[in-house]
Amino acid sequence: MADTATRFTRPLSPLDGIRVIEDFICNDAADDATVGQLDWELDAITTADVESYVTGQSGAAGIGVTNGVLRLTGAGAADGTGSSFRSFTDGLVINQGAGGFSFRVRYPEITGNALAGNNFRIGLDDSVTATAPGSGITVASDAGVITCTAWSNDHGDVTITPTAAPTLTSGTTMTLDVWNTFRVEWDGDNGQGGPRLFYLYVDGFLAGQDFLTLDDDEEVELKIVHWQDTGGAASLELDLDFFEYWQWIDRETP
Amino acid sequence: MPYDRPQSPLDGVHWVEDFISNDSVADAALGNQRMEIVTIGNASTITNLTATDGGAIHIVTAATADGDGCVLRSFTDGLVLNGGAGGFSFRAKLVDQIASNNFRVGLDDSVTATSPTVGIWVDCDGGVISLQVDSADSSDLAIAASGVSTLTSGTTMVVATWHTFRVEWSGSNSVGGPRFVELFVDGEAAGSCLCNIDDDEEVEIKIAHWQDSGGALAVELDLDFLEYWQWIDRE
Repeated sequence: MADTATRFTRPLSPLDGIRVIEDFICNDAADDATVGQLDWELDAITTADVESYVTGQSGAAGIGVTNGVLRLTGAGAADGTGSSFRSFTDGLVINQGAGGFSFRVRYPEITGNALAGNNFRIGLDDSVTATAPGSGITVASDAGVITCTAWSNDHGDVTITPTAAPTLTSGTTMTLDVWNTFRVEWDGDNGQGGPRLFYLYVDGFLAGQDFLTLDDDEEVELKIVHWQDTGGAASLELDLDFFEYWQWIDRETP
Repeated sequence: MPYDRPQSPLDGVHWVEDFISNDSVADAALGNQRMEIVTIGNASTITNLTATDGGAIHIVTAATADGDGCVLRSFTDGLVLNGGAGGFSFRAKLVDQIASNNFRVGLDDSVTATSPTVGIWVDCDGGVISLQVDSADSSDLAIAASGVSTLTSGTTMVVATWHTFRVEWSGSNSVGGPRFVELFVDGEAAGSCLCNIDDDEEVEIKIAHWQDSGGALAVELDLDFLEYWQWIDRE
């Protein structure tokens, strides 16, 4: 059972940095610029998903409980269709120092839903389509197979591919109807203003790490992208429990 | 005393409505969390208060018919009450009178003045305070506030006076919900009871205010904040 011990410390004041939380505990609206507590912008990838909220789900002894969930249901339209949710375009850069993002997702077991062709990319990046970003740090699911990539237009991309995450099938792949929690953390200074190292955790397990090349002037935004590439029309679902982004920043040192 | 709350969704939920917002007090645009407004009978008038020490709203019933009021809520059935530590807190003032000035604040499944079938909430019936812990699957439990030095006779809100309410739950009952629930008023323990709620009984965050004077009457409630938290192990 969860106790009252704070395990993850976040900036509580803007003087210490940024903490953005989307828990999807909100009013009924799920349209463009009204999705969730953060009023996310919704960009259709040709044909947008249908957005709805899921009613409360229990969890054994408090573990697995979901309070506030957004469900993305594919529109049943052509290959490549989906939705992108974002904050203000190019509003952020990823600086040196400690930061990260986390989120919890599930491919719900609904008739017709499947891993095949069911893709997402979540984190901070500069792409509002299924096309790979030029800049950013994201976790991607290609039909359930997980990777974490630090994208840099200036210095090249670096990808972490989990191989032994105990809660993923074969250490690599999400399972239908199972919630997985992803946490990406970065820290240090890579010499060009960006962080030095980034780490991927899957359900608390350190699934990989690598060095970052990202420059601190490469612009990104918060991003949730979901699309299908089955090769034809398909309606595929994804559930989102929360999304969090934080960055420690010293704002009082001149 | 500082209160520890989940700082990250990885540790649980922390939802805060402080009413430090833009000017809007319309449906789905009220407060920081843009709460839904549901009318009970005839619509109340809701305004943002000026000169507050942290944002507040003022709710006035319609003075049209007995039972008039309103409900502010989050997405219907979006939440469940699980085992483990959690709670909610809020600060309220009955502005103009005690009699017939009623509210229900917490997490429940009713969007009218009718008593919920599921939830944990603080009930104000003409100023008299109680903690309600209701389950549709099992039995309801409740405890009346008593012995609180800032309440009249230890039980009843004082007109034109802010009171701060804190409800905390902990433990795990046999059906996945919390085991113990406690009510604190202005920092003092006001009562406690057990909890029979199942962890699949759905609720939403709720503020309900209405009058039951038997006729037309405008009664006023001020709300300073509403907070909800639940510790959850998400990894």
